[in-house]
Amino acid sequence: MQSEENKNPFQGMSFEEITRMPNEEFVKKMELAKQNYFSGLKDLGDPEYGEYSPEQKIGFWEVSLNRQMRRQVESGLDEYAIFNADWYNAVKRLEPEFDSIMDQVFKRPAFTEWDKQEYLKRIRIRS
Amino acid sequence: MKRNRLIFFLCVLVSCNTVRNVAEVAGISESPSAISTSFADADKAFVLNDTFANSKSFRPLSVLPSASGVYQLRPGFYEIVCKSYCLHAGTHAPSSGDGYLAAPLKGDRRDIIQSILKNSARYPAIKQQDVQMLIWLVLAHVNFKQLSTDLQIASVQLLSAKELFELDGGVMGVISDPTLMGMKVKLPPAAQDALDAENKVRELYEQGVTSYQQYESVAILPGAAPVDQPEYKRGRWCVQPGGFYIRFFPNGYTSTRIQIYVPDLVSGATNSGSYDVSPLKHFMIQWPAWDLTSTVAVPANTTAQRLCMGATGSSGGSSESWWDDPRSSDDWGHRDGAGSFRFPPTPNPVHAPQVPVSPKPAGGVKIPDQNPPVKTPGDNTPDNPDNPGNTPTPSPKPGDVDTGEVRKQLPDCFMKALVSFGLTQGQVLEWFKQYNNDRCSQQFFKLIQDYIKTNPHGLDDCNAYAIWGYTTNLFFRLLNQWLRDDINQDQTKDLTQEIDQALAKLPTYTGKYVYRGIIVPPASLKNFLALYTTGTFNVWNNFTSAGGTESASFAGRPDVNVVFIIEQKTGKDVSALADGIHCGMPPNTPPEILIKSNSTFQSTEDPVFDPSINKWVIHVKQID
Repeated sequence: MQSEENKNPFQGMSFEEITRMPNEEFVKKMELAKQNYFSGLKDLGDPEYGEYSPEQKIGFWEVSLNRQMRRQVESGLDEYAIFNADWYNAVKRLEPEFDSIMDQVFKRPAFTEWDKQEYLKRIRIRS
Repeated sequence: MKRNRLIFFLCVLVSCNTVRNVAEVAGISESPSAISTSFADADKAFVLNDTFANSKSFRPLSVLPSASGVYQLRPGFYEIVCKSYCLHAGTHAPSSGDGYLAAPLKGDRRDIIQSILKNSARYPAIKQQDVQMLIWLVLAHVNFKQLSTDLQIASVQLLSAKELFELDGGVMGVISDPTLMGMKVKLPPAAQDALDAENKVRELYEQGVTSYQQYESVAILPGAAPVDQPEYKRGRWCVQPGGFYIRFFPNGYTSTRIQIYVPDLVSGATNSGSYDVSPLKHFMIQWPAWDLTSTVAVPANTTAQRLCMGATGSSGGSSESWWDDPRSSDDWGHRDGAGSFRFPPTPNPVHAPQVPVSPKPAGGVKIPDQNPPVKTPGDNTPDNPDNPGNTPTPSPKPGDVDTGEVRKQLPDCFMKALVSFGLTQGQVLEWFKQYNNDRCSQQFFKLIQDYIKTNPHGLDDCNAYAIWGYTTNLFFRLLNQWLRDDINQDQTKDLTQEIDQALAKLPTYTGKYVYRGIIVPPASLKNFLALYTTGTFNVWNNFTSAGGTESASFAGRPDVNVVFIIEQKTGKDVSALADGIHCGMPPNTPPEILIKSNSTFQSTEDPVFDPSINKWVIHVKQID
């Protein structure tokens, strides 16, 4: 049985039906799915994360977030869109020291490209 | 050699006839106005209240990617203070009550004026008064040979050979004074006044007058222009092609503050309430581009100045917090207005003195050093506000390089490609100096030289530098943007060719699938997915990087809503030349896959939502 957080909002629908759905309804379903996903998030995508030293954790976030932001830029998309309140709250729940880690991440060479103020703005917004 | 000269002579002959013909075809005998833009050319639709965004904080326009005065806009509020120039001799300077709208630069000397405006930013040593003088003289049809030595030197810097030819007897130069007078009687009174003023400018020049003030007194009428269209007030917004809005606040005729508002079309916040999805066709969001130098501020009052804008200006922006931001525009290479390429931030602040650019050893490609060296964050030269206390320069570390050493190390062809792209030699040298010394712990030049010596795949030094350069933040943003927009091919072709050549030489990645995640704005997501139904083809003009495993691609669980599972055909593992692998701390996990530009992908099944990862999964197969 599917858990609540992993419930598929498009269960039983063909792709054609999904594309015919009113956009507002589609957006609402996606928003709900995202909230469920992040509220139920149990890991940060690296099984060894818990064993990392503070320095390794800073490096982990520097590398992974920088990589994803570059992907966005390559595609002409908003690089800060990967940050929002749902994601931030989930990460903070799993890594209570996340804010101080990000303070260090923004001092790292890979992050000279990115704007901390914009990041701080985005993590306050539920998109 | 003789053959080349003959060809050149024939070309000149053809050009001469062509120019005359163009003049005739364009009806120049009926309209002698070199720049014809008028209020009639402006979109006068009332689109936003004059008070709209009055309380907003505007970011400096210079934070956006730009080249040669063309800005790639993004949603938000921006501002720039430009050097502006009078395009209409014999009219009043702007006053505080004049309403200005935007109109395109038009007329027979449009290209010449635009070249002057664009290139004036590349040569900040040329005074604004000289640029203005040159514009007036071009509008007054003064022959190039009649220009003073100083203005001839400025012209050579600001104009191409073809444009100089046109000034040297081309078009208006071959039309006699009696002909011009004949034209005048056919013109409306306002245009006759302008022609009179242009004639006076020309007479002054022919009399040998050199005082700028005398020309200004002819070109700029004293007092405020009579208000003949009071409904157009100062601060009026006007809509531009591409769906963004601008308004002008001239300060005299020499300086104009421009505010730009770009609505977030992609998130669905359009005025009409509909969603703009067409840009997604190319797997990207295309924001509008705006060419500052092709925009004329036209007054509602018919006897006030038309104004054109130089390619760069001071940054503008009214937010205190923005100026406090250590990454504010001055740190991005725009302080002196030199060059309009947004120079990416250097890897780390450094405290090293400016090092003179070393000349290239004989035999190398000669690359003009057109601009002064870029000031970088932390630069401790006396006028740098980032370091008012002039912190002492730390001792260099073993392996540190200066710009002279960088010049020796960088291959000429790579330097040439970067200069063609829009960077200056000084910017490139400074960037790689800091990249080696700070970001890459003094190891960059050693690592890449080691690779070039031993590489088993036959990459030449240019290929290797181009790939490594791509993986840094030096040019990947603008390069991909221009490739997607299919613009500035002259600037992108060398770099693109080097990268694509390198990728062609590298062995194809052995993994069948590579993975790439993105977040598409939720309001546009459904329409985006519809572009990837089974069997559809999509061309990705930009270079595409991807990870070798799905899990490595989503470490940190960033909020991406689409994952492409790509059955790749030409993906190459560039880990051996990747910034993140060699200079990251800790290093990225290889492989780093890069797929060539302009690749075609076919969807192999309809997109499907996977709730366990909260992403739409799109399966595509690379065709070429």
